[in-house]
Amino acid sequence: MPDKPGDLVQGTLDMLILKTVALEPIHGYGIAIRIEQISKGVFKVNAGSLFVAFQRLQRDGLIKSEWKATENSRRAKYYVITEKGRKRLSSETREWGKQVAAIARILEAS
Amino acid sequence: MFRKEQVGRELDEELTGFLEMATEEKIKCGMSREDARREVRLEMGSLEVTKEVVGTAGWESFVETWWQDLRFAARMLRTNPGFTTVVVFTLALGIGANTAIFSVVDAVLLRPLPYKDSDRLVQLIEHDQKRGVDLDWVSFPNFRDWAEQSKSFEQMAAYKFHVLNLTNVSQAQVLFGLKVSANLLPALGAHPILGRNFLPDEDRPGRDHEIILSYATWRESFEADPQEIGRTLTLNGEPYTVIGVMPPQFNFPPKVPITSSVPSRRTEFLIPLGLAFNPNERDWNMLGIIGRLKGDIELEQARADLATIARSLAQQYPDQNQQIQVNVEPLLDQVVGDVRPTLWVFLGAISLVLLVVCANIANLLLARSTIRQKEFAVRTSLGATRLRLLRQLLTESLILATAGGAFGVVLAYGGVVLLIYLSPDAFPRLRDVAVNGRVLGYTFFISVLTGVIFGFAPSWEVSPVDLSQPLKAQGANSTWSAKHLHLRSMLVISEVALSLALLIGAGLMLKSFVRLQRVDLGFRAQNLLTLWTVVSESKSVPLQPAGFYRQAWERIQSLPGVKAVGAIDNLPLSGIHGGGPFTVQGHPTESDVDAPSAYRCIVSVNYFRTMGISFLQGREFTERDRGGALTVLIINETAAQRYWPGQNPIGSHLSFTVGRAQPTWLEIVGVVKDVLHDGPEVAAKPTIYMPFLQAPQAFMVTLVRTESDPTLLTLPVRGAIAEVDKDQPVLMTRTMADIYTDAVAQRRFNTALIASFGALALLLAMVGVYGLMAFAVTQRAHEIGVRVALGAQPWDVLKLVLARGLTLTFAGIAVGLGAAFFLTRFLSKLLFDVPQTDLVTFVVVSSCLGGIGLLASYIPARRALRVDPMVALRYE
Repeated sequence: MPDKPGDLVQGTLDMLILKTVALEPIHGYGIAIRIEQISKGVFKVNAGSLFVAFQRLQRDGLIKSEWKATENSRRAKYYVITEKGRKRLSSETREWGKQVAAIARILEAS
Repeated sequence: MFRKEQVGRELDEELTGFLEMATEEKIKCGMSREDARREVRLEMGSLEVTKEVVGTAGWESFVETWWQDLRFAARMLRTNPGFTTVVVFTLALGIGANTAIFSVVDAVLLRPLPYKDSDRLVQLIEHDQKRGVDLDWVSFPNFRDWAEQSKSFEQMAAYKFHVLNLTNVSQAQVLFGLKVSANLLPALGAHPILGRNFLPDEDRPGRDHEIILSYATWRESFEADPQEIGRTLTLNGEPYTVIGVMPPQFNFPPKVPITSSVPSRRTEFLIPLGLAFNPNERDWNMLGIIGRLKGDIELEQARADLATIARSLAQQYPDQNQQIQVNVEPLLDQVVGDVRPTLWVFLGAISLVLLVVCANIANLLLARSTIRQKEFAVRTSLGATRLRLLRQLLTESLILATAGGAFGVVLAYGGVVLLIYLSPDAFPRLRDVAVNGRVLGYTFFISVLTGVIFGFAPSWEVSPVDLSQPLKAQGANSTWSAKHLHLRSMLVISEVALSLALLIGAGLMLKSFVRLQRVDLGFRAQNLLTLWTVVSESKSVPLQPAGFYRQAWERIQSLPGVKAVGAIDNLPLSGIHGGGPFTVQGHPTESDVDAPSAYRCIVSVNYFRTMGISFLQGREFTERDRGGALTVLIINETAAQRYWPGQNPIGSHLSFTVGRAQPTWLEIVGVVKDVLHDGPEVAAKPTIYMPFLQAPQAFMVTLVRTESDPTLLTLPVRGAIAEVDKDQPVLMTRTMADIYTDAVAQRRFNTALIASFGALALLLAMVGVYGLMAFAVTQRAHEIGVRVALGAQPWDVLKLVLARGLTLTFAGIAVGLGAAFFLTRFLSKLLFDVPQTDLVTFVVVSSCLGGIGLLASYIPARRALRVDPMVALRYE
């Protein structure tokens, strides 16, 4: 269990990144901001873990990256989801749904 | 690996971009640029840490990090060439010496003998239970019974040393070789490269005139002419047909035993054994026996098999075979059994030296790690994990160890050449020594092992890093240096202890060697030349041995510079001896087994005078003691005391006939002082001397006592022989001093080797003591400065340093004494007349080491004296 609110549950960061990248090609900072925004500030992403996660996902072939200009015409690395990444995201989402439902039932039961 | 750099650069750019975007975002929200930047940095943590974290995350980065470590380590070592050179050189010395010794162990002990399935080959010898001695040679009747009755052997073959004079060629020459049973080569799994092996039919008396040449003889004496097969050679005046040539690598027996009657040389020919069976020769031991075990027979089964046969032979022939057992040993054991303990001692000793090397290098690395403490602290605070630092250190150690190993192999090549050059000729299998794959594997293994051992010390120290200490500390870093000094002290103590143990071993061996040299051999070896000849047995040679030698000795006697000429068949120190049982008149014995026995030598008239052997009683042999006259004998002191205790043996009679046969009585006319026939380490045996004129024989060693350097007479003496008979080859001429040197060569070699190991360890240990003391003085310069400023006298300062150095040395000596007390027991077989815990050696070596330790700490102590208090304090 995270000891302070806002820390990510272990293993969910990859899923959040995949979800974010699945919407459109986006750079690292954008991903950090998007996760923070979507979660309404509940999740704060540590830069270190974020970049480790990028490396991991790239190596697993779930995302790929390319250098592009940003809207402020700065060079940045944009991440794009791959086909394999999409499949993984949908299976993880299903799995996640099941788990949440299960946890909810356990919590309600007590 | 370029990818790694590119990834690093991209990561850099990406992170910077990330940082800037975050900053801009904050500015948009109304923060000032500086505030925004600070905020972002606080939120993100250090960029460098992030990089380290990202960098060490993946599995593939392991290899990349390792490569990075490697390059970094190489860079560190390059920037410090002095340190690196010292470490690599020390290591190369330790690993090289170790490799050289291991290559000897490998060649002599571990490698199989050069025969097909050589682990199936065994040597069969007899063991005389009553006298408790091994008899290397076996009689022909016993051999035949074994071969016929045993069921454990594919082949059982016999051989006998033999000497042939080759004549009817431009230069008459002597060949050393073997008479062999026809199945010897099949038993060894060897085949001639040219021609054929002996046929079973040729191994019979009268049909035995075929010869197989060794490759070297074929090449050197017959110009490698393939047409040589089928030609006839004149050997001992008789015709022999060449039927084959052995391959170049063939040699048998693998070790020429010291008791053989030929000097140690490679076998130059094989001829058939051609022995006639004579049931009365059951006590004539002359054959070496080897066997090849049948495929499914274990050594133990063969032993049981032979034990049964030996028991039945003992019942059948009690006079000769009572209490005679048969020992069946693997051929390899028979060859190298004598040197095995010695070699393991060498390997053990050189491994101790390697340990000292490790301790020394660990010490050097520790000294350096004080300088690098800061570097590690900085890297840690930048996010490097402890594991990463340990890996870094270990990588450096392994690089050093590998470099040391590589140079060590080069040194080992030289070392092997040196070892072969220095080693005694009689050392078995030493010709085969080479640095091969297994040796290199061993070297690699010990290199890595040493790398881990000495790399461990600084790693251990770096582990519990308190970051703030080394970063803050400038001069007074005493908080961690206490532990540091402790560790280094332990290392120095173990170095001193190990080298003390080695030096005590060396001391014991040196003392043994000195004792050995002082042993009175019973004759004067100086200014004595020996000349070895075998007069051909054949009838076609004009002169019989007696006539030939009489003329030869007369001619040599008349040469200028010759004081006396004598001769003997079994020359002392040469390894040649022979003898057997006899009967003392009035004390009949039932059989060979119960009879007294003695060495027998045949000597010329002037033998005792020429050798300088003094008479205790009675007279010398004279020209009148010849065939037809009363047969006379001279015995030595040991024989007189053992077999005629409390009596005067002069005028007593003995006979070489034993048992129920009718004895021929021989009269004792003199008693001489003992000669140490088997070398200075072996007590004198009872010996009986017979006059040459009453028992002339072909093989004699002529002794020439000279006025000055005996080698000057080599040519004149050979000339004298040629004048008597130009077809008479000379086996060799050697000075007695050289023969003595050979007799103690093994011991000299052992002593020199262990002593040099000890010296090496001593040198390393003293470098260790010196290094630590010098370091301590530098560390404490400030403290010493304060003391001097407060009025400490030079003596106080000196005492401060010396006391510490001596404490270390004495602690090392104390531990070393314990170790030596335990370890010298492995040396006991190599010592002579010195107990393994010889008090004098222990005390003398310890005090010497103490003295040298004092000296090693005195030099840094002197430096401490020169500490200028002002400088030391200002340095703070």
